[in-house]
Amino acid sequence: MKVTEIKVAALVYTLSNSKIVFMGIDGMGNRQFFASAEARDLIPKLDSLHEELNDGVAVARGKLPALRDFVENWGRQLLPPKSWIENADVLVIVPQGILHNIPLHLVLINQQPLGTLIGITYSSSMSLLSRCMNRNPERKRDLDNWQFEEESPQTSESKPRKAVVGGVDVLGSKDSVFKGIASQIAEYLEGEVTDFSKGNTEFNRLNRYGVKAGARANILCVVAHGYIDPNNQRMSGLLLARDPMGVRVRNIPLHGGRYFDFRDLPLLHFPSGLRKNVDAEILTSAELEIDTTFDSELVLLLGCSTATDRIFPGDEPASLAETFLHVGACSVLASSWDIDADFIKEWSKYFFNGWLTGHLPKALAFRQTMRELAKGPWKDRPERLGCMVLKGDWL
Amino acid sequence: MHGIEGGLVMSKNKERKNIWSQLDELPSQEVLKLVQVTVAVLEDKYESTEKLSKAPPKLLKNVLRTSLEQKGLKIDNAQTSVLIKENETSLALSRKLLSEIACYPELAKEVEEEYQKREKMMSWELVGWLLAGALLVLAIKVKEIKTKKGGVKFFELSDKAVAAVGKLLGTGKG
Repeated sequence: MKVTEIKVAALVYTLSNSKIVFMGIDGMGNRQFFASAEARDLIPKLDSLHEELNDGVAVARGKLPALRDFVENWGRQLLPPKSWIENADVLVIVPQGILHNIPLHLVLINQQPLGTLIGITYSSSMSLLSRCMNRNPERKRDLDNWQFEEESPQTSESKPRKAVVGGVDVLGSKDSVFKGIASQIAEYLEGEVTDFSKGNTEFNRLNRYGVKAGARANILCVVAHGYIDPNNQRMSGLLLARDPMGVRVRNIPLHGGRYFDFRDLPLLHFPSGLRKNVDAEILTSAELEIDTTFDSELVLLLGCSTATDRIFPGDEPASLAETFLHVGACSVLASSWDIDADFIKEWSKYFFNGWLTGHLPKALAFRQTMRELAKGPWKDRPERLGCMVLKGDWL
Repeated sequence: MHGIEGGLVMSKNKERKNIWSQLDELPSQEVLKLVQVTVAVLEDKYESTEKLSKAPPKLLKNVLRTSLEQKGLKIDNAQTSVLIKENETSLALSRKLLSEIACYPELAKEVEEEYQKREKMMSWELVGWLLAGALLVLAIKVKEIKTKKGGVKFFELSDKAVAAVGKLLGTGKG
């Protein structure tokens, strides 16, 4: 199959007074409106689902009755008929308000999760999606010559890419687990790979400068905890190790061609109330926005709930995944709720195999990954199977 | 071993001790994680519409005081607060209740399994000591627990829990 033959559809959601309305745009650009059941019936269910998915113990135990009910029953009301879905290869989902972070890719259609039938990417708005697509260097290559075989992928050598990979757990005792996942991913990558997970000294811990160095890389993979500031999205960020070299200096140009040296401190103190087990600091969204424009075609955020979308006024999702899309990443893969280390190791094996050596577009590599995992022991574990989401460009 | 047979150890790896044998050495945050999981397991078994782990502080304090009063122990507002805030008293009470729960092998095994699942998650969470209060209420209220095989076992922590509170707060009972 050629990339240019992929049929891309979109679903754009709106909440009206009485119903949740969604507009389907099929691969030919035709528009069709669908409506769910009464919003007053669905909204309490969506609230319960959000609450359940934010409950770390329930997710760990796999005891999520609201998620099962959504996946098996009422989630279907939020999707168009199967015949409409079947006409596309890739589906872009643009949620609104309460629908952000709802795992529509898990909804069962003829006993199969939607994400195994169609490649899915989420975007908080069509304009953000458009920006992500425009900046994707993959779109500038000769797409007519980009062919792939999804059913029996030809596994040829992957294209060398520049990558920055690292893992650190500054809060708990899972530093070696985080580093292990990062180094496993580093092994899949070909090219110039900077791996912060090798060795066990303070110089091998991912810090603010390591992540910022990822701005010039094709792939940035961060295995670390996220922190969401409940009041100010710009102060949300990644919890990373402190640079062992100490505080660096930043030159700021002043009037008259002169420069002034400022101490390059993080914009926020480490959140009080969090107990760190190593020297740590926070890399905030605001700092990323001031300092860095990412060129990355893919940012992978593995940690707790890095794609969790709390909603700020103006329907602005407050997740770290969203931040990285705003500062230049083309696509982000992140977790919508707490993730299981064993699951994510297996997930990344399938995804990188499909994307790098199978040369599948990201959304189709994502579909392939879900298909493979749905065959195994994760089949009846929607809380594991659906924890990862692709955001931004699907290619 | 707090009454737990060695067979409870989940792993065949002899270096990995079961969590119950380490209760006294566990740091307070780990104790709290174990409390969190125990509350979740007991809530499943306690057929009640109220989820104590989700209850707001004021409601939980009321439920806690009422439960203790029904068992003959009167405590005031300040004493109730001590039981649900981070301090030596709530930590000691949690350790005592967990060590008693460890005496029910099937329940202890289930809690440990759930704790290990939680440990595999790449997450952090600010867990509040309010949960120590929820555990105390459950320890008082739950009278029997359904086993996985469908049977029912008596769960008699009530008096021991109340006695532990009395002793820790220095009140008459206990």
